[in-house]
Amino acid sequence: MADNLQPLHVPIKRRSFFMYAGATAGATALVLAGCSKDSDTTPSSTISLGTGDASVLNYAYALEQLEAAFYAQVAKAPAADFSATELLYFQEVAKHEAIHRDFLKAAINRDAPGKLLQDLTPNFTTVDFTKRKSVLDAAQAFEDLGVSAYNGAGKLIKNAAYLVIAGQIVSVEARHASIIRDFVSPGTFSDTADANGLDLSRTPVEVLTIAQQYITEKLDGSTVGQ
Amino acid sequence: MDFFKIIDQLAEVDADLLGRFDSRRAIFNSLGSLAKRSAMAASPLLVGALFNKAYAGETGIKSTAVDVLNYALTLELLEQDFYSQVITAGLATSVGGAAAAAAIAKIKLHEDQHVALLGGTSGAIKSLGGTPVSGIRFNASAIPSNLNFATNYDTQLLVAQVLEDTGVRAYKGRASELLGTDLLTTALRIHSMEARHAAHIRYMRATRPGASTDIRPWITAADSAAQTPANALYTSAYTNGITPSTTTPPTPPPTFFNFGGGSFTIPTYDATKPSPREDNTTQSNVALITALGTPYTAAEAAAAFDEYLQPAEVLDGSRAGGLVR
Repeated sequence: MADNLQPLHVPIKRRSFFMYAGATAGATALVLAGCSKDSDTTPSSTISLGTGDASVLNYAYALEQLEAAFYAQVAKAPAADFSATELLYFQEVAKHEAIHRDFLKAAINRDAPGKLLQDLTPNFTTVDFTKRKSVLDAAQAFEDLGVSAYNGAGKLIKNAAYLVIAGQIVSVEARHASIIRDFVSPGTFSDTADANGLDLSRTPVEVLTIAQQYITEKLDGSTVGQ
Repeated sequence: MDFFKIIDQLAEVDADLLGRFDSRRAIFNSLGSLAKRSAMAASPLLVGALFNKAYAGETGIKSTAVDVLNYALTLELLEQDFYSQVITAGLATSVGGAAAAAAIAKIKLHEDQHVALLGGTSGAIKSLGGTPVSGIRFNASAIPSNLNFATNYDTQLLVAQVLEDTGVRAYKGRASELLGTDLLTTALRIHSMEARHAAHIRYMRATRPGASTDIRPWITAADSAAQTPANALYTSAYTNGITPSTTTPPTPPPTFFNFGGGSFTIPTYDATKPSPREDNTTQSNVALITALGTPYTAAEAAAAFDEYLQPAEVLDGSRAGGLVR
């Protein structure tokens, strides 16, 4: 069941997987904290990202799943009004994000066996993939959010090797954010800076509060890094 | 001076401030917030005194923090002076146009802010009782004369790219010394801002007339400026050691270094771990091309991750160190 992520095309399959994943002994990474009641038809439980460095990696993995799924859709069915450069860059960014996702999956499976976060089911219903502006706005939101997430999560990491890896990823995310901002509005590449020239930083809870609207499953990041 | 207000401000960002003033972690935890506070606070000396008192007997720890900050400050000063010279030269406006000039001005502003945050009179280094390095200047004469730095806008952009990309790599190289701290957060927030700069400079280069079609906002294996540039500004190897690691004045070679004031130490170059080249496709022993289930190209794998640099590599004459005067 845990095959490659194809969330945009198999939502029902995902949900059915998730419904009994919680009852599966093998789902050691999942902590089902009871069903929430805010979903009308789909039983939805909260998935804790856990603690320790594995939780930080899974937190990153969750965000990279989201980004990778988004750009995979953009690359697969690009908006007709993209410029040639925009299309080219989006195709490359899609590969970067897919690599980030797959790398984190491999690293978690290697270093924290049994703790890999499940495949998530993205919800991009608010994005109109046929419209350049809608895609760019969403991409900007994802990239700025991703940068702030890595910046805020850095201090939660205990293993220096993971910190370096996170640093190697976040600067690429910042490069994405920069160019996408320039596509949205030229010259705004760094307008996330505060009065001290510092980029955004958010805690896992703050990030997931924003990201949750794009993820079907409920994620709990309150213990990440603890 | 409102002593209690400052204590309150510190306690606001670190509820357990006073109780935690006794560990390596505590000093860094407080410092990250302090840097921000003190950039705005009216009483930096008081804050510094607070730290001095709290960390009496922990000179080594404080020294490490100051060294890391001075290292960062060195790079920020280099960038700051570089952009000052670019702005003075006027080509960003006359050749690049209004948007280019605005972008350079915006980047310069951030470098000014980083310099103030780290090394200003209310900055983090002084708050720790350290002495900020000063007098770091960009040495335009280090650029090979055939590139005509003073009159060639494209050369100026190329050097900007080298400086920004190097800065991004440099912050990564010392992140682990700040593990688990709020100071790390501050460093990371500078780091990603430098990456945004780097991407924009690269995009400016990509949109110049006659530009290589290989230039991207991210570092690609195909980008010649990241591999074997004719000007040798971006060689991937560490070439002429700065050991044992005091950089002022640089013992052994690089004669390029001539700091105006202040000094700091950097970790001794670890020859067993030379930093990866930009075309590296293996991260954490995972071969990105072949080991991820889905095959990826070398170009995709190389671009998906930025690399780090050891401080000795950054300050080496082949890189940023060669551009300091």
